[in-house]
Amino acid sequence: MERMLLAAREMWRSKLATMGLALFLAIAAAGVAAPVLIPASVVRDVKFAARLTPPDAEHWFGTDDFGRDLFSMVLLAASLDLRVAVTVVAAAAVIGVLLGALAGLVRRLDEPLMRITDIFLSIPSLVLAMAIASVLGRSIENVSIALIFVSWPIYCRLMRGQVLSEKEKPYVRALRTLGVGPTRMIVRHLVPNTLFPVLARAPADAGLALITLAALSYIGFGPGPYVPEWGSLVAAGQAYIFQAPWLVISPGAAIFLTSLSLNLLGDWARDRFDPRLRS
Amino acid sequence: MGFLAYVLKRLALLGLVLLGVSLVVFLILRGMPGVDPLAAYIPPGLPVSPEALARLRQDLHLDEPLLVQYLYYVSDLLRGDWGHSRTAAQPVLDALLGRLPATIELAVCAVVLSVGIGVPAGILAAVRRDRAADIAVRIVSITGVSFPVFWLGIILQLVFFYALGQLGLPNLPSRGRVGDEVALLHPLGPVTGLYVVDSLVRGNLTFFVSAVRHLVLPAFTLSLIGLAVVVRIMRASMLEVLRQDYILLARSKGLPARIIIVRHALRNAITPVLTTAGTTLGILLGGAVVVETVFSWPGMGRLAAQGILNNDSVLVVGFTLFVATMMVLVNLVVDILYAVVDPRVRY
Repeated sequence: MERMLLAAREMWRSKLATMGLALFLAIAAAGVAAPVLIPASVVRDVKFAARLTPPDAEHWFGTDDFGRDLFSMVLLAASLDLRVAVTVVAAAAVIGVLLGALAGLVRRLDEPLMRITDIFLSIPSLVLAMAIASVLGRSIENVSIALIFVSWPIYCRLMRGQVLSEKEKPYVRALRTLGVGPTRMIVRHLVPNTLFPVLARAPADAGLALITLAALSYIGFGPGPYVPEWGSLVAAGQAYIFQAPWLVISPGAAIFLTSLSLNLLGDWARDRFDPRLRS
Repeated sequence: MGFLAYVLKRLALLGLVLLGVSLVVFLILRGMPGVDPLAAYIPPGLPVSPEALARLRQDLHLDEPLLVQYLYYVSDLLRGDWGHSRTAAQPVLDALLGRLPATIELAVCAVVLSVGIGVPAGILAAVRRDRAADIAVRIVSITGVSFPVFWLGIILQLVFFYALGQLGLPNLPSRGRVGDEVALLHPLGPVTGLYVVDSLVRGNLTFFVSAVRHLVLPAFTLSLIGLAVVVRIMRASMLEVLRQDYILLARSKGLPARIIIVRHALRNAITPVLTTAGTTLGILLGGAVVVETVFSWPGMGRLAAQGILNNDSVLVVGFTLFVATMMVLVNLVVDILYAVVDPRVRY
């Protein structure tokens, strides 16, 4: 708790991180509020007479090729894109941290688990995710599963390294001599001391997951025209790029700003929690 | 350890890694829980008689245990039989190899650009740590990682093709590898498949100019993916090297800063950039799927993206295996070259 307060105070001092946090909170708030404030019927409100209207006072971002209000579409998409990015990273971190801790603590499992992560890490993640999602079938759920599949190994690797180095530190031996049991040692001492540096990756990884999701969606894994998603909004708008450039500008900017906010947070988190970079 | 022993050890390791990669790819194609592996081989919606399905199932050995299937799969791969792609109407391996030069041309240009810009930028940031230049480089690099490349590509098309063209200024082409007219009037016989190289070899200057102009936007877009990685690694590595004693010694000898940085620090600091070259190439090949789609670049990545729309998993999975293999091979070459240059690696 004390550690968290300290971290929060330090973050306040870093202007970029504060900006990132503010930006992320604003987008997340929009993502949460959008489905409440905007009626879901907007998505099916096809008006061909009003299609490709440039941005004006009524339609801030203009209308799309179905004549729908693009501002509502982009806001509605925020909830889906953020949900997927956060879920993917959370799931990957939980799986990776658990397996990594296992590899670091149980010697027999170390070698096989590390070889598995080696293989995963030797295939570019976007390309691996493509294969998995393609076999599972085109849908956002399957893309999320594919992204979890390709994101856990790095957490496993980092956690294992942390546990192995922490395990050898003198304080662990001292506590053991004092009669601290293995469960208490792991829960109270090893986990808190190893987890922060590993989880410092999470914000930047969420940004990466968001961009990868949008990219996969853009190349054809998207959820179709009746589910707002940023990457597929860009793909749909590209057909009218010279006629109605605003169609790609706003959803693309939404991806960029969200990912930027996460990367600003991530950059700070890495400097703060990664012991290798602390000087 | 001698050099030869090192190379042999790396080759043995290469075999194991490729086996592992093929196993992962095989399990994706055949071992996914709840997915009938047969579905990958039949176009959706195509009426197929139960007898034909049964025959296909038998041909693919789908009723055998997974391990046996895997052995069949690997032996097929080794014989060059990577399955048939509906999208390309060609065997998968032929389809990929046919489009490889286009992708290589794009990826190599992108690597050159990202190293050419990233290394100096990383050095600048490290040397002027926490000063304006460093902060500027870091902000640009964070912005770069956050940029969705497909969006960047579309915006570049909008500005450098459309807007410039509308203003009557010289603009850059937004799609394809060469102008249609140029391809018709100044055709190029096949040499390597790399248009820029081939047109020079054949002295076809018109073709060369068109090919280079077509490369600019996609190569720049793709390079952005590698750029942020290169800058970050270069900066961190340079900071580390600048802390070393021999740099202090060089400084106290009164050597000019330029010489210290270029002659002493850079040589050692560039190592991590080189060792991650294979990984960077892999990331760029992944990015190529997106960039080739944006710019209608006729490479492997665009084919794979078309395969996705066609539910042609045999092709998509084949592409994954191909890219992973390339990445592993490049990593091997880098490691061996590295051991030639720097004997410390072999220990």
